[in-house]
Amino acid sequence: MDIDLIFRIAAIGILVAVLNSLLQKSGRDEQAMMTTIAGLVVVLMMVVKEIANLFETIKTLFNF
Amino acid sequence: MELIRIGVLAIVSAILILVVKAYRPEMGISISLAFGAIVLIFLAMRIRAVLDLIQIYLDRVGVGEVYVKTLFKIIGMAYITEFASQSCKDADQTAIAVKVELAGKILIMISALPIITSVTGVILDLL
Repeated sequence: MDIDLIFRIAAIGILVAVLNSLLQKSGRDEQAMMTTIAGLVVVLMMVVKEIANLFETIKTLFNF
Repeated sequence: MELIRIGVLAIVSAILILVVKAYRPEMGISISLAFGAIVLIFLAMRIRAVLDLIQIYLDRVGVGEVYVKTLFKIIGMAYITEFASQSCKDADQTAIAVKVELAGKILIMISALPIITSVTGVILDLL
């Protein structure tokens, strides 16, 4: 079981939240937006890879 | 024991989701998706053993190869549909979840058509 993945996603989420509030406090709203989107893309990449892995496993398991 | 690991992982994920969701809702959904994928991939190895057993028994009874294949295919499609629709429901997108379920039902129905046809053929022969 790849337990690290969940902790990695949670860490990225907290990091993005902190960066977002810091950048917004210092008045750089567009950079805060950028960090949000970058974090979302990174997390989505990881999750999509895992889901693709899952669907591939199911496909081979039930020999589609 | 695997069950303990899964249970601990589930509780940890739930707490992490609660923490992260307050700031970034989309990350919470991502964690729950990742958890679902990890656990199901882990369970896939166990399901394989059960499927092999079912296959052996069905072969011994003499059920046709085509029917067994279709049956397994439909079970797999049901798993995928359920995973996708529950994930959408988690993200509060009930409409999309219902559509995924509808797509799954229709595609399963289409996969089952050969079996339905042969059953109808047998019934019609009897009449």
